[in-house]
Amino acid sequence: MAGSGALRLISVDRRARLKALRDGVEPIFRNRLHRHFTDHSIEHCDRVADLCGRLLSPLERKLNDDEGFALYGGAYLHDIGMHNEKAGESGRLAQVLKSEGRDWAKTGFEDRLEIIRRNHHEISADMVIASVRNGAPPIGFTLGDNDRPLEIAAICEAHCVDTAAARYDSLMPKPEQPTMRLRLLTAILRLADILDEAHHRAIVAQAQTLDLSLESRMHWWRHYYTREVEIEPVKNRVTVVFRFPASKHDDYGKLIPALQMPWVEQEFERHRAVLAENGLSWHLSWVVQEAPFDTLEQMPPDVESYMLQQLARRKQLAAYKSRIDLLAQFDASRAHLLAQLHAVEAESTNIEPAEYLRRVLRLTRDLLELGSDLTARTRLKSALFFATSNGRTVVSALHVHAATELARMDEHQDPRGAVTGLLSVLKIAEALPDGASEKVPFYRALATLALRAGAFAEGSAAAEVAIRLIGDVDEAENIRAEVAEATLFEGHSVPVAK
Amino acid sequence: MASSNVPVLADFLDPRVRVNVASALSESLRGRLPKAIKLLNGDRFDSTPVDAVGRQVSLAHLLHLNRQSSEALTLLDRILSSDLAGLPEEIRLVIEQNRIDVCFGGGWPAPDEIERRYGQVDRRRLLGINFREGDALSDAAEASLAGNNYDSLPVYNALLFQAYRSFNWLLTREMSGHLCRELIRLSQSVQAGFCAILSESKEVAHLVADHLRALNDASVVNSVVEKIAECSHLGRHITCACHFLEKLGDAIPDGSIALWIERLKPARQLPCTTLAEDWAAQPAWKATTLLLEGANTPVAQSVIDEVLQHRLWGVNGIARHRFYEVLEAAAAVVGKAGCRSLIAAVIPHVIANKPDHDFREALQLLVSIAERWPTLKSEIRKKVYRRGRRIPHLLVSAAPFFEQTVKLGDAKGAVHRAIAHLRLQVEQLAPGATPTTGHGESIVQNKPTKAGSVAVKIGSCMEELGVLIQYRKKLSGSLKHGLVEGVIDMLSNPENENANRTSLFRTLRSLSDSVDAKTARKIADIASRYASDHRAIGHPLYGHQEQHSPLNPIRMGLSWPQDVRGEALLTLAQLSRYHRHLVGPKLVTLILAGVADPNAAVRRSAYHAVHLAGPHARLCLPVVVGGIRDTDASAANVALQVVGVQAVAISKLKLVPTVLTFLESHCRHPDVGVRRAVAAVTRQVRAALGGRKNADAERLDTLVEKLRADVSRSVRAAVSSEQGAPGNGAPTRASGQTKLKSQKTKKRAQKARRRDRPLTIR
Repeated sequence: MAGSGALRLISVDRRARLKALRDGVEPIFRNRLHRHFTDHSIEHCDRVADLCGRLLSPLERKLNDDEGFALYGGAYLHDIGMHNEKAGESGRLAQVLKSEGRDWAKTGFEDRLEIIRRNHHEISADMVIASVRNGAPPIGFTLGDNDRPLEIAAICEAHCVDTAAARYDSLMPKPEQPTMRLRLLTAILRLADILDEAHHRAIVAQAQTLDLSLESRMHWWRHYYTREVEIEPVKNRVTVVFRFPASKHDDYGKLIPALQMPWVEQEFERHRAVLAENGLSWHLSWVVQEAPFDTLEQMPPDVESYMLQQLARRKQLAAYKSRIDLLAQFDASRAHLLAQLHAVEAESTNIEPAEYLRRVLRLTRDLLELGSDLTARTRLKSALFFATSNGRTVVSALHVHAATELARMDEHQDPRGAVTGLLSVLKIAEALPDGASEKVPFYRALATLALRAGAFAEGSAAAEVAIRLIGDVDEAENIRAEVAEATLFEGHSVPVAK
Repeated sequence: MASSNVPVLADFLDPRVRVNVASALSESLRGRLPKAIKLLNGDRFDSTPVDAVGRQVSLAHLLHLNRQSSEALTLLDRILSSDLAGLPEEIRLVIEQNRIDVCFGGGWPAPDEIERRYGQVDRRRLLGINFREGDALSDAAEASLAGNNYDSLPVYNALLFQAYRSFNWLLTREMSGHLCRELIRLSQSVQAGFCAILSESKEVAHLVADHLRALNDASVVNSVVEKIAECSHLGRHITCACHFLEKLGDAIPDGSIALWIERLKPARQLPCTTLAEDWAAQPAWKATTLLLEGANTPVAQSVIDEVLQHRLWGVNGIARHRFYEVLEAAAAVVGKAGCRSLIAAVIPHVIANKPDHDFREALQLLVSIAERWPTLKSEIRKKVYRRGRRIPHLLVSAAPFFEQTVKLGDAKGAVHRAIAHLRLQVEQLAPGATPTTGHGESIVQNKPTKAGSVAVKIGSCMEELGVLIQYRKKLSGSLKHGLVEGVIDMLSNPENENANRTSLFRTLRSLSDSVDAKTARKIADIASRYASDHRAIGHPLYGHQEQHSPLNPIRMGLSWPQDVRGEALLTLAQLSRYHRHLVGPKLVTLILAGVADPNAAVRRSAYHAVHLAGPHARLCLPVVVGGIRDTDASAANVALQVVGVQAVAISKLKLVPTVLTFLESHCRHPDVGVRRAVAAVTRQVRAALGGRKNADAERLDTLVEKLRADVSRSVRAAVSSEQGAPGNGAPTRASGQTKLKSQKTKKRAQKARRRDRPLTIR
């Protein structure tokens, strides 16, 4: 039975009814259909109920009797569907199977177990509903209308539904009822459920006598090393405590928490808002406890390898997701900039060529910054051509500036185009006064790009001009370094630095 | 193109450090390694700790290039054990890759180094870093193929720059190779030579050499060789230069021979106790072999002395094996005294009680020396052939050359033994049984059958048969008949391999001058069958593949049906000299069919057959003249040689103007073998015309002048004198362009050929 912390939350009457409920469901939990799974017995329900109580202890407005009974009812009933071998004969599962033309009686044992595991939250909910005012209740206990069966069923079903899914929302009343805070109750149950993934559920004797799959063994060992959960209401802190064999302290320390904690952290994150609304601000952490003596066993190497694989897979997935996020961000930003670009282009014939070129330059620079290299290059190239052909002209400084920007954009995609583009405005650049701010960047770009593209003569000549014009001594040294490197690949002797 | 967002080490360095890094590489390329090291050890321009990392990585590079692997490795390990002054992970990965370069370039890496390399590759992949710019390279290659070099050249240049600036040695080498190929296409030969050295690639160095030989322009060759001499001073660059020289062969300018012989000396003198030393020494010895062709006596003598004092010379036959080619080249240059010292050094390996692995090569060297200095024959003979001593088959075969009489003893027994051994060439084996060996086979092929397996021994009995061929005149008619029948049986055995069939046809060809009509008919019958179209139904080799599948990675240098057909044709042509009535017009028909065959190997043999048949195939001479323009260089080469040998007949048939037209177009042929043959034919046709002064003679004089300016020494020699010129006897298959087989396979094939036939005087 749940600890005193939990029982304290509800009235004596309800406590008695809860005890009766627990006694009623316990035989069903002994079915243990999923023998290869970690423990889903009545003890798990007890611990979940206890954790619920501890998690709710700092609650500002305490639960009322109905809420308390719904929560604890959920604690004892959320996994009951896992133990119902006849699940396919009634409820929503029966309807689904019928629509798929499948016969539960003819479904193999392993398939049945898998179906039950996948749908156990719905089965639990259906069993709860079917037990209302029923003389032969499938949960082993007849629920009355005062037992808030609908809320219990909702909590049972919601304990495994994605919080972002529409179904989750449909199970929760909108807005949250002040007398039945179902979102809070569900959140607490889900957190308690996940926090109970600890060594109590990894029973050594069972593991030694069952032929477990690698996947099951991984979960088993993961639970085994999760020793306890410390809940400190004063510090608003929930700490998951791990302990490992001394010889593997460091190895497992990098592996098990990394495998275990993200799930727990994600679950807390999902319910952060609803917890905060109710004055709960749990901070989650973990710690590896060092014991002077330990009798903990090392996990087999194949399980450790499997865990490492799982961890790597999870990180790969996260990296992929991050790339997809980046792509989504890129698409959105690019669309925004393109819309602006289209607007400018639509105005191209109405505004001065120089103004048009300036606006395109600004937008293409933004596009380039965003990573849209090709669009930026082609759009700037078109704009430069448009603004300087068919009798249209722009001031020399802007022309040189735009050509320099374009060459910088072309550098990595089209080294020849970059150099020829710059050479095509060489005469214009030469005619600019030495003090013109566009002149140094032009020669600087021409020097770098020509030297890298193998146009040594043009590159060296441009480097000389750039060094003469440039005020920055460091930048001049950089140009000299580029000339030295190009000289090397020309097959000439390279003088030492002075 | 290049990824703009991958950080490169150069961007983190002080620009003056970058200048000194470039300068150090430039100095070391030019043989001033100590100065370069001093430059890189100086921290005068360091502005941040990263500069020290850049200098040290560059120093490790120079040490690696100079084959000082352990020093380079120590340095790189020191660098990698630090935090790299906070440089990004990408740069650490590049330095790690450089370390692997050093590790793998210094001999067999330890297993943990291999693991480390694999780990590096995986790490790069997981980080999404790809050093190679695959898309840019592919686009550049396509642009280059389409002739848009203005697009491709800047890309290759930029990629090389990017690789260098990343301090990525592997990529710098690769990109230098790509740039070199592009520069070859653009005929910027000097720059291509420089890039070839930077690429450190044998294949790229060969491309430059091939390009130069085909270009046939002495001034360009000189410039490139000078450039390569200027920038090949570091160990790995010297090795690359060796590959270049090896391929350039007799086009190496005479003026640079002494320089290179001297420069390769340290590499030649390496004791070869490690794989890395061997990698440096082997190309040096190969290049020296080629260089010796243009060397003078003191230089050649110094190389002989180097060989005889080398640690490996005293080890065993396998170790000595590498030296025979260079010794043969040196022996062709040194005087009699030098050859005497060589004879003294080699004789013990020929007369040893148990022949070592270099027995054949040692004997071949003696034959070469005796061929050049006939007066030394008796000295060699006295030392090699000692009364009462049992001698191996090969020495028996060589005895006539050294004018040594060897008693054959029991001829009948010898023939019967040879036939019995020959029958074992294809051996049916019960399951689990092992084949009989020890008859000179080079490879034993096992083919599974329903009843067990069939073992085919490639090249077995050839030495034994060689002795019998040498003494064929002393064998009775019936013995020869039995021998021929044995050979034909084995030749016709469907389980036998074509490699054996070609050798067996050569045996029949050698016997053809001494067999009676009855035996000759048997030879004619079998040769006619095999000399017909091998793609026609009914041919014994119908359905055999003509080449390896391009997808088959295992390329054994075995023979093909066209080779067997060619040998059969040659056998028939040879036989026609002695038994014309048995061959008759059939030979001309088969030759004409051979000349028209799509396979170059068959055409080569058909041209050669015209020479062997002599007056009996005179009708085919115009076709051979046409063969000068054969699309296959080696076939054209053979046709040219036949035309040269038959110059008088050609003249009589009034084909000289046609031949001259072909010679004029071929005197700048990209294949040096063809040009050499053109030179020889020019000389032979000139001789056939006598002292006549006419338009043909004038054209010949012009041709001679052109050929005298050829970059290849052998071409110049061929046009000037009889010495060293091909086409004086039977056509050879030498061609500078034949690259169908890898060097290794070629060598294996050469070896197999040598085993297949009795020792010939080259």
